[in-house]
Amino acid sequence: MPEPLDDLSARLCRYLESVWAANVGCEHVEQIPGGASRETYRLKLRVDGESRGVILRRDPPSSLIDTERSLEYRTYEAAWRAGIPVPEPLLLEEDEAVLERPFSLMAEVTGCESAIANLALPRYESVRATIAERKWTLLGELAARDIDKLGVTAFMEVPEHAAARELDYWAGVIRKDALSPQPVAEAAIRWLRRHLPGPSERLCLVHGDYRSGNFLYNSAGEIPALLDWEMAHIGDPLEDLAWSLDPLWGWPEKTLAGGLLPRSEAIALWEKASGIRVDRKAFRWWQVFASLKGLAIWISSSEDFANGTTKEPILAIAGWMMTDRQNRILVDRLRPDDPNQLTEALL
Amino acid sequence: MIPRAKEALNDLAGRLGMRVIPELGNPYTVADTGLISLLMTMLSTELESGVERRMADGEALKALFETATEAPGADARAAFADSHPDSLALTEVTAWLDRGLDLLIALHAWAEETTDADLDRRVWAFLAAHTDRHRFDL
Repeated sequence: MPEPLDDLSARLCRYLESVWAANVGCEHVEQIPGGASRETYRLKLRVDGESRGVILRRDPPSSLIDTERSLEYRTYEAAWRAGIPVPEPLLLEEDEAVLERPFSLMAEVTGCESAIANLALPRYESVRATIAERKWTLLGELAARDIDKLGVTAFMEVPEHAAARELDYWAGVIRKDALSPQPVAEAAIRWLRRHLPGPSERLCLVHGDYRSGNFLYNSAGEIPALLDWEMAHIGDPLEDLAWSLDPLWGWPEKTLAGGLLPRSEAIALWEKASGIRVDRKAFRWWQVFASLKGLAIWISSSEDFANGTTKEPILAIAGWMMTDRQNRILVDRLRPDDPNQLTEALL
Repeated sequence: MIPRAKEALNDLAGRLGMRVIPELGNPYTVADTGLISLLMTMLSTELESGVERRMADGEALKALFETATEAPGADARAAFADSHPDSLALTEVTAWLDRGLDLLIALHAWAEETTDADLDRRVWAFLAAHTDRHRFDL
């Protein structure tokens, strides 16, 4: 049985009183749906008489993405220091004695939402294009940042060959976690090995999951925070761009990137903000890789549901439905006859 | 009398959506129950047609293997072509098809290495039909 929310918040408040040397009470606590990689809670605290909204993210017993929490937290710290729009990181606690599992605390960003479907609502009609423009401009600006100045080289591996490293990692995930043979994934892995680009000309901080649903937007057309940095790493700038344009994020819409704007416009925005001209040959590789990485995540999700302990339905649904779609995307893009029935052609 | 499994699961999923969820106040529980309802609906299709779809995959694999006599592993493919699942239980049919898919992966890699374009096309045609057979669109 899940732990009652009141118990959780009471234990957190006792802990924060000690860490912050302040009187801490909880006025409201609720679990936020959809946190497939971390349990996520919104709390309204009263700290020395002042109201303060925070987001608690706690490791689950089983998760959609197996990630290293301290690396994610340090990435938030680096991004926050550099002025990249992220929630302010407040603390990371890895001692399981406090809340049974490690957790982190962030300041709540208010007045926003993340559900991409809501962008289609009339209240966002006048700012939808602005949000889309901001989405790919922010990504381009991230690609333009110097990784040494960001400070991420202090705790992230600097790859000699970003594409090879990523392919090895995600092919390994598929082979470790697949519950059944994956002929489409194996064909894609062979294709990617045959077409492997050379070492990246420049490296950047890669968000790793830059897509619909992983940023907060508001009715002013702003994106005040980029979320879910659990797969962040140093890598090739084209990786995030290709991931953000994967057909899955606009499915079944074929022509709008992330359901928001034409792919060519998204790329032009990114090129302008990053100062990087997209190498079409390398980008072709990263687009196929993006679908393979997605497939690996969904396969891993199914494995978590089958063999893990939480039995969160989102793990089974994502693992099933998204594997199905990502398989169809890869077949549609790689088959020699009649390709691109479901997707735009690779650039 | 045994309930009709597909309809029963769909009805229960609908009952969760129409009767239970409106009574829930907590947004997390509402979302969780909605996901449980969706998963039940998805599972109802698997229960109804999962065996049929896997058997169709297996028959298509057999036909494909019969056209690929030159590739290494012909004996294993011929054995699969002569085989059947131990029973029509979904787990047994899945295990049987998995054996065929492993053989397919090796065959496809061989077709690419030897640049056998015709065989490569036939494998991709199988994969297109296979993924379409298992598609799940809401």
